[in-house]
Amino acid sequence: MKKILLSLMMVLFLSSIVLAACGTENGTEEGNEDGTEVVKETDEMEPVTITLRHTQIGEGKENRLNLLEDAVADAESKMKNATYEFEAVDGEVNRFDKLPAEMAAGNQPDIFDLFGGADTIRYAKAERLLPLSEILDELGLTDQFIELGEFTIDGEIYGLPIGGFTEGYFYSKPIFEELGVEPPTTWAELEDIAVKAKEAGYVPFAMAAKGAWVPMMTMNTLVGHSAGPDSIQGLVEGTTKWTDPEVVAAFEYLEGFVEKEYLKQGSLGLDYGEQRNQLITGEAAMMFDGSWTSSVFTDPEQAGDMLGDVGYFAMPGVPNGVGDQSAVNAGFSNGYGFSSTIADDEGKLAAVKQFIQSLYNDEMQKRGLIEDKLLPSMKIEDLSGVDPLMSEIIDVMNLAGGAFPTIDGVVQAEVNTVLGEGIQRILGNDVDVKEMLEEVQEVQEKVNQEG
Amino acid sequence: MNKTFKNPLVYILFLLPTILFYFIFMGVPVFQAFYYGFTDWDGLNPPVFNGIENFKEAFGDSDFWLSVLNNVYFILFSVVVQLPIILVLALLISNVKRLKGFYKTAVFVPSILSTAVIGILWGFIYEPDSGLLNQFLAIFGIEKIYWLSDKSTAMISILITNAWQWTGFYVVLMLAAILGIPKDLLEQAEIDGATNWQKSTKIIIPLIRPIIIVVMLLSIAGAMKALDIVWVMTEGGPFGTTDVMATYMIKEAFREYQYGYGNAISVLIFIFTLVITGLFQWITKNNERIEY
Repeated sequence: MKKILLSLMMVLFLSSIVLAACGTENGTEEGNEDGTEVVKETDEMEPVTITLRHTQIGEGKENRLNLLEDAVADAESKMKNATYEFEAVDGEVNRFDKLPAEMAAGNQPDIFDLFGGADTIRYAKAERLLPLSEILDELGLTDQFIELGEFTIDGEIYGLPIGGFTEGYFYSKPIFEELGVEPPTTWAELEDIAVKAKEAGYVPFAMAAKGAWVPMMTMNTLVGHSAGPDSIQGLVEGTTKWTDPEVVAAFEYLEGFVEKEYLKQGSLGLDYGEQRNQLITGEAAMMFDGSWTSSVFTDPEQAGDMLGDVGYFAMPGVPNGVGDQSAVNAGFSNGYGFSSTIADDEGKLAAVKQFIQSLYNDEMQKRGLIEDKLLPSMKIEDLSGVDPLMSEIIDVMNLAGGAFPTIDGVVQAEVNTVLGEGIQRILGNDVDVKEMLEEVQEVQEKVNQEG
Repeated sequence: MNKTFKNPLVYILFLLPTILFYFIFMGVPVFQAFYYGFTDWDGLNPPVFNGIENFKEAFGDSDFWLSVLNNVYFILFSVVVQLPIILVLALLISNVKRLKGFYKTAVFVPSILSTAVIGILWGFIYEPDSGLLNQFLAIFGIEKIYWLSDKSTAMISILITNAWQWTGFYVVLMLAAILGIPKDLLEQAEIDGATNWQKSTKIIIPLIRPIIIVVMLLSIAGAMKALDIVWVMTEGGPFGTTDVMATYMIKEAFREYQYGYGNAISVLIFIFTLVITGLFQWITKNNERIEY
């Protein structure tokens, strides 16, 4: 996993090194090195309609929707016979309810929002996903992605990440100034800020835990620090146990947050969007979240008075943590997958290839970085024009000594459910951490045995 | 023509399209649910027959029984709390002389709103910091209550919302029955010196008993298939404490990819509903038809 981050960092920050191979230009019917045309639409092609499921809903995702719309407009201008039909679905609903149901029935959309790791493995094994290796070769894009590990199963690529991410603490600069504190570099300093924030009447850490994946982000990095960067992969391989003292210690830190009242009460009833609102409205001092959230804090409409007043720092290492404490959670886990049914439809296949060309190129990746604050998933050379908050995130990544994956992308669905519920019970002060983790370990062993 | 209509085959012919539609869209899914309920199926790969394993797992699953208990709460709340309120409201509205139409409409409005809208609307009411309910309670010095995120109040919050949504619908049913009672019956009672209370308890309620039973039956059936209101308001949270059987089924099937187990739960919902409603009908079967 370490190589993911290192390669990402190299690409992002060592722009003097030319990494990009000569790929195709945006959306043109370019030739490969051997002179063959890549996407070719012929007059004989029947008109096709491509269903495109995306999750760009709400204010926070406006920029990403704009990019997608522009990419599709470009694809449609080059494929006169193709119509791309948008369908917007909430991210969580798509991932956990709608797409699994469609996959079960075998009527998944042609193009859809897809997560790497466990989701991709499951759908690829059931032959619901279009293999992309050959297509990427054909389009000259194979070497253009920084990391496709989370979408690669047995050497075959099944999905394309739209961007990269890392997770850390966003913080309110005015509150830090008022408290007279700097971004912490040690756990003791973080605790000290939390205490001071609480005394000053602020919520130390914003939290909205109606969806278990939100507090799981904090937990993810706590486990990565306390039990080591390799521990998360070890959970499914059996080399790490949920009941290991280092893992238990990680959960006890979260329990400590609850006991010390560092989190907003009633967070279990709050939707994800409420978390950033706590920071924007000045209610909370800090918030653990993904780098994608930075687009909210750099948008005047959404950030309001907090525009330019939000900073970023990595979660400090924990006392007695295993391994490199500067490691961060980072990866390329969200993007687009394509239905395997497309393989037999020449028209749709051509339209999908054009979609890939129109969306996955230097210009779109650059726009993603500048407009949507999304770390590139492809090797781009031009990194100029990045806003200050994004620069802070990049600086933090620069200092990171490695990366570990997301828990919910690694562990099986049954484990994810019982773990998510367990984390929520910690927040609700309703469980003994050790007992809860024993239960998680039981489920982990059961599903590991089942294979 | 007359001969044609005396032939039962003609009637069967007319019924055939409807029966076919019903079978395709209702019968087949039910049979499928039964079939998959006896399999180990992840929803993607071919199902493997595993006998009664899923049902054994359900009966030993404490989370499943918690969801059953929550369905029982729905039934009890409908019958014990909601029904008397429906009856009182129906009696009150039947007695008003002016604006009867307005009251009927006002009370019926929540029933025509979508559950999603109602969930969000009540979400605002229950909002801890600035919600209407906590603001009101604060007047009396009552501390902030985290209605939907505290396991001790989340279920009752959902039950109240659900009752608010459906009360109007049942009131209108009850009202129709009350207004169907011949006026001369009630006038005679008045001449005999009956008070409003006596008229209600001795005449109206006994006469509308069949409709009360229908309302109870509908409430029980509705309570057994409760899903949307729970999903919109809490998604079964906090940590599964407000899950009902249907939401638990969805989580098991779609979130954990245990489609066989999910189907087994749906079969159990079907059987439980059948048993409870059957039992209820058997208990109330001696309700003679009331004729005026």
